[in-house]
Amino acid sequence: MSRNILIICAMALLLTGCNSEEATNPSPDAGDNTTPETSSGSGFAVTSENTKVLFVGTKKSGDSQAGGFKEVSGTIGVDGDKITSVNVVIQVDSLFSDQDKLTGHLKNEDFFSVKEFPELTFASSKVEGSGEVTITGELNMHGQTGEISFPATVSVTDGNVKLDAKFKVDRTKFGMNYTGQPDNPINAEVDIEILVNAE
Amino acid sequence: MAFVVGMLIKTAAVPIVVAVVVTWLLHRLERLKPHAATLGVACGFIAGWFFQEFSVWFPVRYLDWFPAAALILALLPRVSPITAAWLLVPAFPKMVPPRLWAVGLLTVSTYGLAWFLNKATDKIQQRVIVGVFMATGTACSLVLLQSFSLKFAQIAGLLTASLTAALLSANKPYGNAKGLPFLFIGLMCNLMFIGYANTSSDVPTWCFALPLVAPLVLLWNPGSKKLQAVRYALVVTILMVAVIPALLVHPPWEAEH
Repeated sequence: MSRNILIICAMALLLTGCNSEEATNPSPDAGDNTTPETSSGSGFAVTSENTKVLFVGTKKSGDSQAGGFKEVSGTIGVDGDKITSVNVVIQVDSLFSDQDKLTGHLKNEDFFSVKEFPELTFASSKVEGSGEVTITGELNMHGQTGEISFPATVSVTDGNVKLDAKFKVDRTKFGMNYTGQPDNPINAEVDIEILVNAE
Repeated sequence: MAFVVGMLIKTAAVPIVVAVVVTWLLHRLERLKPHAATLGVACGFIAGWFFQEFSVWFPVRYLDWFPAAALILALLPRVSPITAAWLLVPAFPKMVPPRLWAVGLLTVSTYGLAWFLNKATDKIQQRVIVGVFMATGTACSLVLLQSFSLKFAQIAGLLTASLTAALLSANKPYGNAKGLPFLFIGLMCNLMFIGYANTSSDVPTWCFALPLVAPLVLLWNPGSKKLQAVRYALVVTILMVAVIPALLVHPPWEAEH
């Protein structure tokens, strides 16, 4: 018994002395709200007060569940009457839905794993068009990064920018593979709606 | 609820079959006979793991190390608790307790609980110990389910189902399940910590720890049948005290999404 304890203590000292692998998945620093400067023009702040991020998940049968995120931050870069960039950070723990059980399930390992991946980020790489635009950028969600493109209706006036976007995201491409009941699986694609009214 | 029950039944079929077959095969090899059921349980768990939709061949995240941890705990029980904890404890940004503390805590808990239970296996019939482990595993699965993770409940279910092999084989003390306490306690301790670290539910923290204390009642090995019945009642009581609050916090009979 005492020899086994010595072996364990030696192993513990050896392992704690090594550089530990703190995370197997990179995740954005919590609270890091720095956003890239626009090359020209100004920017509007995206906040929880002026932005809504909503989602709807559906099942094969057509049943749906809605929810969203309450804590959002970021910037929308503008140049004249056009937007040039969109950078958003969402606190995943602010997820809400119309059922407590659903909210808890979505936050857990089966979906967002909020304790492991506390932030969801989007950084645009290009914005094409004017008025009706196509925004392309990298979405980092659930520890995985993928490029997405989505259409949006944008209105930029003096001192105000409005953005309205509706699109779909395939959650399975970001490691969220839970399907639920085999006879009525949850669809991979999730409907997303983003509404911004920033001043 | 019917879906959950169906999923858990599906989760049980593969590990039971593989565990029983492996145990039967190894039991015929004189050198491996004392460990046949332990290795069978580990193989059943691993086979069941790779049958699930969440499995990957090469570990990337902490959860992916469960099969490796099962193998290490089965093959090297006395030095494996710290390795298992190191592999399985996550590195969440704001985890409480922090990772190194959690690894230490789980190592000590696993080694302590398993060492005492391993001593008890010398004197108690194998089926009694395995039966208590299966009840404990079922309680753990229910607590994890109530903490909003079907995946963690499935993992607990895989391990519990695999124990069938040890239940069906030798019944004498120490039969062919040498080292089984290290395998079961090692995996379940880490899994319950993972469940606690991940949950956003209102399930009390002690519900995650209490089920693992229940098997310690087996250290009390009375001679009379009356006192043995009290012993089993005590095990059941501890498990109920762990599960019932978890059920009441989020009643499963309420509307599901």
